[in-house]
Order: sequence, then C-alpha cells, then structure tokens
Amino acid sequence: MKSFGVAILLLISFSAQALSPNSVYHLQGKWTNQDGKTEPFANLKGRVRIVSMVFTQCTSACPMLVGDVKHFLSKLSAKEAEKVGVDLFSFDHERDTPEALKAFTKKYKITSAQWNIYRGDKTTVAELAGLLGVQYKRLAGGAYVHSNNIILLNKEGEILKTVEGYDSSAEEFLALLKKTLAEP
Amino acid sequence: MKLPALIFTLLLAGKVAAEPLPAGMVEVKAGAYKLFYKEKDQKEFAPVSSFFIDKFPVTNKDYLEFVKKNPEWKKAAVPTVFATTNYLQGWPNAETIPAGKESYPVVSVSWFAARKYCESKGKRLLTVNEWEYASDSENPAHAEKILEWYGRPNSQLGAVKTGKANKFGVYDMHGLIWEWVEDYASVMIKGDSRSDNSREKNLFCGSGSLGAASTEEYATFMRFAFRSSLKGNYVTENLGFRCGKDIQP
Repeated sequence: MKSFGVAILLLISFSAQALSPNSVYHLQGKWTNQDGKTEPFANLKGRVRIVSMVFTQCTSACPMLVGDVKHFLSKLSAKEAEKVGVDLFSFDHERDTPEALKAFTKKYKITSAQWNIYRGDKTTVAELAGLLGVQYKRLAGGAYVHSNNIILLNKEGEILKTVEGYDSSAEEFLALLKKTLAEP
Repeated sequence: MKLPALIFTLLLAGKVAAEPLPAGMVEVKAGAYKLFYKEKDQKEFAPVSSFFIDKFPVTNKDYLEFVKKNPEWKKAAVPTVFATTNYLQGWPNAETIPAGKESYPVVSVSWFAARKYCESKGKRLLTVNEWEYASDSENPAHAEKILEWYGRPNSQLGAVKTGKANKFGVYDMHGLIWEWVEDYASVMIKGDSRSDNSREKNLFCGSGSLGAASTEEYATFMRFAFRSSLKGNYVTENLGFRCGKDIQP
C-alpha cells in the first residue's frame, strides 16, 4: 500500500514537471487580473484557452477582437463553451491598472468568470509577446500599434493555431478548438 | 589624516560616484537618432540618452561561459518555445565551441537566450533606436559597404573586431552578423495584401500611422524588414547580439 502511494506521488510529481517543450507555460512572470489577483503565468495550465494581447484604451482593433472571440464562443455548444478560458493580456503596463481592466470588462459586457484581462510589467509583456508572436509598438502618445493575433492554446499550453481576427482561417481555428475540447 | 591623503580620498570618491566604464564597453553619448520609421506627426529625430554598449558582439567563448553557469541555456536543454531546435547549431555539443572559433560571434541564438545572457551580466539588449544610432549607419560613407555586405550570399563568419571602430568606438555593427534588439517586434512592415481590404487594415490599431521616413535608405530598410520577420525563438546562422547598459546617474 505504501509503495502504491509512493508510485502515485511520483506519477503526480512527474506530470507536474513534464512540460511540453512547446508549452508557453515555460515562461516566468506574473500577471494581475481585473480583480487585482496576481498569479504566475504557468497557473493557466490545464485549460483550453483563447488568448490575445490588447490594451484598454484601444479604440479600433480591440473591440473587434473581443467581438471575434465572442463569435468563436457562440459557435460552441454550452457544454463546450464552459470549458474554454479567455485570457487577454495588456501591453499597457503604464496605464492599465486593475481598475482600468475592470472598466474594460464592464464596457464590453464581459461578465463570465471564464474571461480574464491581465496587466504585467514591461519585461513580462515583452516576453509574452515574443512567445506568442505578437508584434507591438508603443507610440509617443502612449497608445500601441499591434498585430491582432487570437491564439488557441491546448491544456498543455501548446499553440495550436493563430488567427488575425475572424479571417479566412477562422473555420480551421474553430475546428481545432472543438477538437481539442473533445479531448479528455 | 594628512591633507594630501584627504584630497586623494576625495578624488577617489569622486571617481567612484561617476559610473566607471564597464569592461569591454564604450559610452555612446546622448544625441538624436533620425527615425527611419516615424509615426504620423512625430518629429524626425528621436532623442537617445547616453548608454554603454559592448565594443564587440558576444563571442562563442563568452557564450560558453554563460551556458556553463546557466545550464538551462545549454544546447538541447532549452524548450523550443524559447529557441528552435537549431539553437547553437554550429556547436558540436553543449559545452564545445567549434574548433578555432572562440572569438567568432555566437550565432543561432534566440531573442530569449540573448536577453538572458545580457541579464546575467547586469546588462540588457539595445533598443532599435539605440542600435541604429550606435551603428552610425546613417553616415552615407557606410551605405555602399553595408549594401555590398548584404548582397553577399551566406557570408563566411570571421572573428569579431573586423576593420576599424566606428565614431563611437564600436566594432562590427555592419559586415559581420545581424544583431538582436530588445524591441525587434515593434517593427511592423505591412504587406501589400493588407492594403486593399479595409477590415484587415483596421486590424492594426493605429495602422497607417507608421511609415518609412526615407525609403531611399535601402540598407536600413533591409535591417528593419529582417527584424519584422523575426519571432522570439528564431535562430539563424548569421544572427547574434551584443548588450547595452544604462548609465546610472
């Protein structure tokens, strides 16, 4: 019985250690969400996620992006949709306080606990963008120019697909989303 | 304390207060960088503060020392999200430099690896503006030489310290390797395919606000185009880096 317990412990610790070489959760760094809760990035492991990078004072691309993500979710059954996490990461380490993030969720009528929007420090933002292949530039006025990637991550944190908004490969994104949600 | 000793002590204190030049670096004095890509309504020149810069690109020998101290950055130990499988592809194994290439610049390193290297030295990567400013590439005297180098296919690498130092005392900014910068991902060069479709155009927040200030500067354009094609885990056989450092007041 004792050795069985040890074996279970070993198995648990092994699965906790063995991160896919393609997993974004190798990344260090902490993010704070709209409720002021701060957690290491790797805590997001274990759930299928749709992720993107935004900033709350964005007026053109980001509203569309939120709409695109909602559109993806609307194509899922209720049972599928509840398994997806949506995580938006802000470029704007200067202005996006948890309060600003909260205001963003209100503005876009984001009420589901599945959705989180986060802020991080300058380096954390740069590293995540580097990992996700997001291009961005801070303009002199404090706004950001950025590519509009919507990224699908499996539970392990591997990037399955990236789309630029609801573009021509959106169907493929949706098919992959459904497929990965069907996995145990 | 005798007076001369006191003066000596004061002088010494004065020296220490002003930050000494770190080994292997030179100071690039503050100035104005003529922006290659400028935002709409932005001034033509951007101020650059003084900073320290490595005189030479980081060499294989330097990098070996780093991976020995930081084994998580050894070849084959790095997850592919941080460096593709061609990371350090020229090295026979994790702790061996290719024979005779100790003083060659380290290449086939990713942005993540380059950042960690600089961080381990208390340094950082240079920004695009700092790199361009320190490279003195707007000097027309360099333009032809730079283009000639870009035109050579698969240039053979050599040891660092080729030719003469530029006006800042920096070597090898052109003619040896391409170099990572901290904000490589800030360079967005739009493809033609995007321009016709109004929806896709809007996908870039503030799109249309960035444009090349002078497209005649072809060599500079090539560097920006190269940077815009990179991803953080990419490695190539002619892409290395050097570090910079803030000057503490």
